[in-house]
This record gives sequence, C-alpha cells and structure tokens, in this order.
Amino acid sequence: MTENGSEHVQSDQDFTPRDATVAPGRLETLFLRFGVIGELLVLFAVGKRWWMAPLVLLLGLFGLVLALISSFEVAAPFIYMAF
Amino acid sequence: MGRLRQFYLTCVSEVSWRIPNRPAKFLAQFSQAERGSAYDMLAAAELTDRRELRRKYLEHALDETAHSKIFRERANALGIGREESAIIDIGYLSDHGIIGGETLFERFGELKFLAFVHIAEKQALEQFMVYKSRDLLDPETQVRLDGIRKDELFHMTYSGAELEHYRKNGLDSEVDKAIRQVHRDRWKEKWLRFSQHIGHFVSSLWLLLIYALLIAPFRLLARPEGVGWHQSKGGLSPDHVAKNNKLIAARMQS
Amino acid sequence: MLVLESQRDTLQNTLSLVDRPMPCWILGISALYHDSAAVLLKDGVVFAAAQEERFTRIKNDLSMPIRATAWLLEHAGISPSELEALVFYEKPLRKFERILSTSVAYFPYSWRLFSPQMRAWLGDKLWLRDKLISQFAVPKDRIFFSEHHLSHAASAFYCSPHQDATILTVDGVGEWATTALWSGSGADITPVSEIRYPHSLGLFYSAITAHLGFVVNNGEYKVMGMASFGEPRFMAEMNQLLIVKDGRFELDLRYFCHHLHPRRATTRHFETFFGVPRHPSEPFDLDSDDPQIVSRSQLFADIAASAQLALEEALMALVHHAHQTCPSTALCLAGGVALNAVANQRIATEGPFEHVWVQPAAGDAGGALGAALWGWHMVMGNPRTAEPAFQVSLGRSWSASKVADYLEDFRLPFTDVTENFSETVAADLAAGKIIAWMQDGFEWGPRALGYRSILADPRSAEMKDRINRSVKFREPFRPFAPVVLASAIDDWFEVPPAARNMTPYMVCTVNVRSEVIDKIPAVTHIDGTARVQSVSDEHNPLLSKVIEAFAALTGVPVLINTSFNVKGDPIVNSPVDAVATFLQSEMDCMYIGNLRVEQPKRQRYHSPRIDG
Repeated sequence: MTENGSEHVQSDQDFTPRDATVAPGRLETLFLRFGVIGELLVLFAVGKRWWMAPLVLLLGLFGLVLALISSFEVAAPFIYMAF
Repeated sequence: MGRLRQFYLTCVSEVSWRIPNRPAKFLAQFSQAERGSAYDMLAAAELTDRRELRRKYLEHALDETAHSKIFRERANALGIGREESAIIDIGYLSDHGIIGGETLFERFGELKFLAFVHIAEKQALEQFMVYKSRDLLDPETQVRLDGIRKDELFHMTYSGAELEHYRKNGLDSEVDKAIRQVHRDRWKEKWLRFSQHIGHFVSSLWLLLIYALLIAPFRLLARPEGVGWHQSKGGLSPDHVAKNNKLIAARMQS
Repeated sequence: MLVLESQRDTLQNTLSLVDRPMPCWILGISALYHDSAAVLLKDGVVFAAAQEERFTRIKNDLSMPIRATAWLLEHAGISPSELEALVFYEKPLRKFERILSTSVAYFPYSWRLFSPQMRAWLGDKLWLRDKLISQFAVPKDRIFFSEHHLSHAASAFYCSPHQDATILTVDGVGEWATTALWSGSGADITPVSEIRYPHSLGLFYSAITAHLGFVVNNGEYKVMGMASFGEPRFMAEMNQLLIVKDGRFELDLRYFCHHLHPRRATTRHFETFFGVPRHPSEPFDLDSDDPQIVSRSQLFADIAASAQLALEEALMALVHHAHQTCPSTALCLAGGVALNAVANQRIATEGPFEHVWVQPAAGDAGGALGAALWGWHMVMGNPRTAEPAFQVSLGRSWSASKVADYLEDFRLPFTDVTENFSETVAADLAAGKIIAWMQDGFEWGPRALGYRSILADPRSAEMKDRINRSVKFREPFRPFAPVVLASAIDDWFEVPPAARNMTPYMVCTVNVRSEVIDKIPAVTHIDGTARVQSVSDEHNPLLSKVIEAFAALTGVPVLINTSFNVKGDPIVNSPVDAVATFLQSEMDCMYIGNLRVEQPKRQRYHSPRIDG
C-alpha cells in the first residue's frame, strides 16, 4: 500500500479466538472459582490481614451465587425475586 | 402501527416525557444511541459481501452521526446535568452493538441485519409520530425531529426494499423468520435489561446490608495505608521467587 | 479456520525442513480499567499491537480486547493454542484486596462506593482467569499475571535504548501502588519502593479534570492545554491539597473522595477553594464580550495552571528522589501521568538525568506491551538484545486493492498518484489544503504519529482555527502538534539534550525557537511551546519525504499533525472509518496509500431523499 511495498493482505476469513474449544465447562469453572477464593484467602493472610478472612469468604461465596444466577439469563429475574 | 402498540407507546411517552428534566436526558440517550448505530452501520459497510449495499450503509451511518449531533445539541440546550453533559459533549460512548467481540452485522448476517434495521427504524418512526401527535417536545426540538424523520423514512424504505428483494429471490420464509427473530430478540433484550435492573437492585441491597451489619467489627482492626514511600509489594522479587517457583509466582493472580 | 489450519501445517513443514524451532509467541493483554489493548510478541520482538478502541470504535474502550486479539492472531497466522503465554497486565486479586481493605478502613464513609465496586468485582472481575481461558482459548497453565506498575515499568524500560536505567511509574492506581520506583539493568527490573493508594498524582489531576468539566481519563490533555492560558495563582491552595516534601507527596484527604465515592473525586472543602465546578457546556472564552464569561474562563485557566504547576513540582521531587535512591544516567517514565508532555519537558530540562525516555503508549494500553515483555524477559529469562529504535506503526494495515474496492463501492472518485507522490501531497499542503492521511498500520498509543493523521500547513494561525472548528469540532484553546524533519529539528525547536530520544513520539513539549516563532504560528501554543514530533527516514520514510518536498516548496520543514478522527471518536482504523470521518468534516482531500480522494463538492454526500 505504500512506496516501500509493505503490504499485509487481510484474509477474508473471520477469525475469533472463541472458536477454539478449551472453554471450561460449568463444573470446571466452579472449581476454578473456588480456587480463586482460596488464593484470595492466602493473599489476605500473607498481607497480615488474616482477620478479614471471614469477610472475604462470605463475599466470595456471594459472588459465586451472583454469577450463577446471572448465568440463567432469561430465568434470572424470577430467581432474584426469590431473594 | 397496531392499536395496541400505539396505546402502549402513548402511555409510556406521556408518562416519561412529562417528568421534569427527563426530555433532556432522553435526548442525550438518543444521541448516544444514534452514534452507536452509526458505528454498527459502518461495520456493516466494511463487512458486507454485497458491494452494492456498501454506499447505502455508509450514507445511513453519516445520517446517524448527524442525528446524534442534533440530539446532543438539543439535550445541551434543554440543560442536562454536569456528568452527562461531559460525556455526550465529546460523544463519549460506553457501548453499542458489539457483544463478545462481535458486531451486530457479524452476529446477524446480512438478511437479519437488514430486518433489524428495518424494524428498528420503523419503530423509531412510530415513536416520533407519537411525540408529535401528543405534542411532547419543545417546538425547536420538534422542528429538528421532523428533519430526522425524513432520514429515518429513507432508512426504513431502503431496508424494506432489500427485504423485498430477498423475497423475490425465493427467500420468503427466511425473511419472515428473520423478522420474527428480530422481534423476539428485541423483547428478549428488554427482558434481559429488566433482569439486569432487578439483579442490580437485589445485589446492591444485599451488599448494603453486608456493609451496614458486618463491616463495623472489621473496621476496628483495619488501618489505612500510611503515606510516603513503602517497600514494594510487587515484582518477582528474590524472596518472592525463592518461596515459589518463578513460573508459579508469575501465574498467581495475587 | 480451515485455511489457517492448513497454512499452519505448511508453515510447520517448512520449518521442520530447515530445522528451525517454532517461534515463541506471547500475547500481552490490558483491560477492564480503561484503554484496553493487546500486544503480540514474536521471539521477544513486538510483532503487532493494537488498542481495542480502534476496532470497536468506543473511545478508551475498556472491554476485553477480543477484536484486537483476533486481528493479531489472524495477522500472525496462528491459533491461540500456539501462544506460549498470555500475560495479563495486573494482578486482579491484589487489586481486590486493596479495594476491600480500603472500604473497610474508611467505614462508614465508604458506603456509597462499597456496593457498586463489590458488585462489579464479585459479579465479574474477580473471575478473570476463567474469562481469559474461555474468551482467549488459552489453557490455564499458559496464563500469567504481571503487575500494574511493573507492566508500565517494563513497557518503558525494555523499549528504551538504555541497558541501565532508573524507572519511575506514576498513574491513577494499580493494585496498591500509585507511584513506583524500579531499577532496570539488562533484562532485570528490580522493585525499589512505592507510594500507595489513596495518595495518587494521577487521581489528583483527574479530580481537577472533572472540576473543569471534562471527562476523567479523557480530558486530562485539555487541562494541560488550558493551563497555558492561566497564571498559577492558586499555588497556596494546591500546596494544601497536594503536600510535597522529602521526595514524596501526599494528598490531604479532606479535599478528595475518590476512595469513598463512585462518581465524585472532590469534597465540598475543595469547592471552597475553587468555587462551583465548570459545567461542560459552559463557554471557555477569554476574548468574550461578556465580562462574566471572561472572568469565569480566567478562573478555570488559573486553576488548570496551578494544578499543572503543582503536578510538575511533585514530579520533580519524585524524580530527584529517584535519582538519589537509585542513581543512573537514564530515567524511564511510564504510567498515565507520563503522558503529560509539559511535565516531561520540565523533567528533561531541569531534572538530574542525562536521558529521559517515555514510551508512546505510557497509559494503561502500554501495560499490555509491558506485560508481554515482562513475560519474555523475566518469566522466560531471555536476555535483552540491542534493538533498533521503537517503531510505532504496529496496527492493522490494508491492501491497496481492498482500499480501491471500498472507494469504488462508495462511488468516491480517486486517482493513483504513485508517481510524484510526495510532490503531489506537498503541493496540496502548500496550497492550504487540509489533508487526511492514512498509511500502513495504525499507530501504537494515543498519538497520531504520521500513519493516521490530519496534515496541514502550519504557516498561518487561521489554519488552527479552521481545523478546530470545521474538521475536528473541538475546543478552540487546544493546540496542534508539529511534525518536523529530524534533520531540521534544531533549527526550529530548542530540544533539551535529555529529551532527544523522545522526539519521534510526541511525548514532550519543547520551546519553539524565538527567531522562527512567527513562521509556524499554527503549531505554537500560547506559551511558545510545541509538542513536537520528529520524523526521519528511519522512523517514517513516507512522511519524511513529504515534508522534504513541502520544505522545498515553502522553506518550512514542519507540518501540522493531528490525529485522524473527530472529537470523541478513536483514531480511524479501516478505510471505511477514514471515509466516514473524511465525509463528515471539511477536509479537502484524503490520501489512503497512494490513492488521492477529493472531498465531494455536493453539500451532502447523500442521494436526494423521498420527502416524507
């Protein structure tokens, strides 16, 4: 495209990384997330904030529930109303 | 427009546009929406395989940009709040048709995209008609809106003609299906937005409860960070790496 | 997908024949705060890089850079499974620790902030790892997390020409740090010390930005531009807000509430100093006939000037502290605050370092670059090699045939000007035409550096107003930057020796030489400075030739260079964006590659409408 002839021709193929199939399943996601809560607890403990562990645990679990409900999409409002 | 829809639109508009300060806010939202759809149209112009449609999509995008500007001017003239004004003043956009990295056009494909454009423009026209018949806008905005309506009519007409073109080519049932899907999607989107609001409300309430009831005891032990220079917490510092394997340390989110 | 698979197989076969190992690809990602971006390294060298905003057309887009990444991988012809590593630019859990701890420490005053922040984190941001896995299709064990300020530091140091340097990173906030000091040597970056949230220079400047009616994380440049119109008469007040002593700074938290409030940054005490905040639609006009407008405008300019000076003072203190703590000859600066070109001039002129270097994407987008480089050097343990000067044209480019297709489809007449290209462009410029300019891949970082630019003749002051009014639709007080031939820079500008390496990137202002100041009024700011960019054959041969041709016609080797966009839009990416931007403004002609397009004569591009 320029005088020095450098040209990257775009492929017409639409390519999205999400096509690949390593996406974790629901159960695996849940395990990953429990792992995150664990890592958080260690972090607070190492940072001399071990006394915040109960709060972190509570919020972490609350987050799990929140993410779970919103994954139900269309049915989500009904579940929210149950609270 | 069906009677039921007209009744629905009239009720909603009458209630929402009579609330003080609301019109300016709505106009600001329109400005953002038009700007977003301008980008959606540009993406379509870039991606479509039907080269004869590119110019139409581009023209449509330019119209939407112009409309966005008009709505922005009117919103500012009617006096919107500081924060909103700062955002629409520079045309700052938080989102448009892109979901999960895909544009509206990529998600829908040509036929459904055209059906979407047709229906969205038609519904916008119906809405504008109600504003006019119920005399909901200030005279200056109404004059500008009359101009915009002409463009919207053009958008509705060309997209409608394209759908007819598909029908003539034996894709009658596909067109009908696309139209049904678009209608369904629009309702679903409304429902999900409602769902979001509910989720927002319920989770906020719970979090406020947690804050009010549970944080206080923790406050007794907490200290804000001190001022000035501190020893760095981060990096792959030697003792950090000594404790963990280097790769493990680098994988940690914490 | 199939095409790419087969391409890869061929590539693999070819490689095994010559017995070369597969290249090592590393993807760096920054996202979820502002300016998300993705960077792809091939064997430790930047292969391509892009901000997500260029693809989604949402300015400062903060969403996961999915489109940018898709383009990077497509451009490299690889699939996500071939990535050796995906490096995220910060540590999300440590950030969560800071947010939760701060909320608790400031109970009960943090009640407004707690709920929205926790909702965002618990519902979304905390689960970053599984999102990265599913959105980027990279296996868990290849995902790494750098650290916010470390990523900034790496982006500045590894791209700099220096093997040993002191690194200072200053921004809003990362995990805990808002300011951090590092020592760089070879491939190693060693943490030294940091200043922690809520004391932040970035957030201080953002608070002023919001007070002056601009959007935070977007309008900071406008404050910098406005500052030149005022006198710093509020220094006593600023010194109360921002206390600088012993090589460090702190904020007086009576005046700030960014740690307590989701939308406000300043308290009522702040307003007792500086009055009612400016409404964005409030005019800023020092030449107005209305004395009320003039006095309000002067007040805003004076606040901006005072804030700018206060920021500079604090930065100078930090720089001196950095020099004392870890002495070296070179300073690498990064973080959003390092984009303050005026402060950089002061650091280069008055600071203790012989060389100062700022990477062009010093803001959060640059974090993606730093994260990837950190992965290559510090996690994988690769040494640094002497690399050529940092190139910025790292984004997507378009083939000439594709561009011609688009122009034909849009029914825009164009001419191929391959012969006498530079002369044709120079003649247009000398004739006073405003030119849209799109060449090669788009730039890395927030500045247009001669690949997606609007170019014009700098010799008349009216040109500036014309572009502000009818092309960019932006505030009249904002200056335009000059682009100058590197060989002629000293004839036109006073470049401090320490700033020499920075001039190709438009990250530092310099004084315009007094003897030539009348010759280039359109690019000289009211205070006699300019945010200059130099070009040479090494950095941008095409633009360099155009300026040479322009100089041959006019005797001035300088052009106005501003970004190819209109107010509120990201810089253009594709030919379609370029055409749309061109048609909605009053630019005279556009050069995409070697194709020249004239602005259509009609009032509107549209075909006549059916009357409704």
